[in-house]
Amino acid sequence: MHLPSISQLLMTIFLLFTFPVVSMATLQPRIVGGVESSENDWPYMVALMHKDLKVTVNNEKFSAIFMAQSSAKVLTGKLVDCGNAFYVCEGVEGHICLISRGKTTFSKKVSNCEAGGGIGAIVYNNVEGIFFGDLGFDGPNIPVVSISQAAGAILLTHLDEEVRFDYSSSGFCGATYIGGKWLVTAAHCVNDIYKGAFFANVGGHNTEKDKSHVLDIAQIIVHVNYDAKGLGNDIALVELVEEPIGVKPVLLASESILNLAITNEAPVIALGRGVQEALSPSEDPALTPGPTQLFEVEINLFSNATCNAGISNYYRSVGGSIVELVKDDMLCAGTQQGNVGTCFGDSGGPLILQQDGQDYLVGVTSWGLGCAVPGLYDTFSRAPYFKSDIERVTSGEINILENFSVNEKPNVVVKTQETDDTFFLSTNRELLLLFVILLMCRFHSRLAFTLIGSLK
Amino acid sequence: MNNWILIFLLTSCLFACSFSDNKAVNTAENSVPQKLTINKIEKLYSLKVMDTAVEISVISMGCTSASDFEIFSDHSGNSCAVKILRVHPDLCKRAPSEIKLELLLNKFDDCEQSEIKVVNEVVKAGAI
Repeated sequence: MHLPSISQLLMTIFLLFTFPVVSMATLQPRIVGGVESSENDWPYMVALMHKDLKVTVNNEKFSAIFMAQSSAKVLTGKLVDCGNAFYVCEGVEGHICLISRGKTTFSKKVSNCEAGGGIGAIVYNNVEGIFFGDLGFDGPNIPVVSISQAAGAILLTHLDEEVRFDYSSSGFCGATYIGGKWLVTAAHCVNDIYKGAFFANVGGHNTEKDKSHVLDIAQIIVHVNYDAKGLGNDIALVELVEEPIGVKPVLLASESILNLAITNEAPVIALGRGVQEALSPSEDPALTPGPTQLFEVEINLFSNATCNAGISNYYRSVGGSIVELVKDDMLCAGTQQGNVGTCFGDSGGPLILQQDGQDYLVGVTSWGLGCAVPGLYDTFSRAPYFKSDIERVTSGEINILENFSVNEKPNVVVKTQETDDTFFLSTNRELLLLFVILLMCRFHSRLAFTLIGSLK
Repeated sequence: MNNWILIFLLTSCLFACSFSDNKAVNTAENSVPQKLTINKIEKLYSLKVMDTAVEISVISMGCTSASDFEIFSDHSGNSCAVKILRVHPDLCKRAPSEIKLELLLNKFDDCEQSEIKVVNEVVKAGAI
């Protein structure tokens, strides 16, 4: 196999940056994941999977979204019209309520379905398109989905027929099981998603076949200082609805173990189901799914200074200036010659240091310029940097603490006429959260003004 | 009731912040840029031009938002060529997915009463 020289690769990268439509054939495809893992080698590796929800009636399928705070169960039942559900629904016992949007809150509508004995609810839009609703924290317990106005009109012609909520799945990120009900992942994996929209496959090698520990999500806790632009504090905790019994968790490395390993440029292993071909920083990835099997690759730890130098060298080669993107809460690993490393879909997955027969989590896959590019390294959230905060949450010492916030309302939620005007203050729990965050403004004034701006 | 609590909290925060040490983020000792900037004509997966905004679909790896884009216009004759540039790259490594964003057009007064033409390539999802 012909491999291009360094100068050829640099020129190719330059051309790709300058003229993005250059063919990618000049870059050799690389198995970024390295090799397929052996089954059971990485029991703590977790795949986070989207639920692609459909409502099916008479073999017709309609896209749907579980409402925030809704139970996200697969369900089958007879479809019964409940109008706008302003009052308690009648004749719905053991059935699924079909409800029109408007007039009152989603929570009240669904409570009226549940009070009538309904086992699930479908709320259809009163304007074009689909919508994302929120039941609130003290809302009803039955599964609730939203569908488009057009789908609602069709479902109205299928009353008294059997309707089903079901979903297919696709992986979008990795995570790591750290014990109890807890996973650690990257903040950008779960910052804009709500808990009903995904599930976790813990320890499965092939996500299509191995489903011993497929679990729903109880809550998402994102680092309160997560910075999507600066890529800082890219870490989050995900609590499962129940503990995956019999699954061995990974240990969080201490800073001293990690620092020694970095000094020695020790080998570490990255795990994931991401894209498997190299991409220059200017190339757009395809919208194709990654593998369902787990892959692993051995790379080496490097200092943040080495990593920043690599990024600056690259950036200067394409007309930019020195940048310092890798900060204290991050960690670098890779190889000088490129060819292997993490790529799109690997985010949130673990970087493992094996030492004295013990596996340590040292990093969480976060970001990088392209994939497996020579001279550039992968960047991970530095697990030891967040160790004490993570342990305080997972030990139950604190629920809502200074450094993490509960993400139960993702960014994609929009205020609707059905929800309370005090969108951010619908419960005492959120009031407490906001108060804690705002008090932190004492030390983070820029964050304060951002928050205040968002409340206007 | 909640509104009063909100006002109280915000007042407390403003009071606290007024006494904080407002350190500049980019001080002299830390003047190296902490973010990458680029100028890339973004490939769009859908485009809808409205009166005061454009709705676009783009590929995100988990760290793309509307603030990553800037719109430039070039008015000539009866038409106004609009170019949507990505100014901050998405370096994250979540699986690629299509997201919808709304970008406001209100700062382009020179496009008023002109036909707006977006010059970015619009491709179907799945195409490369």
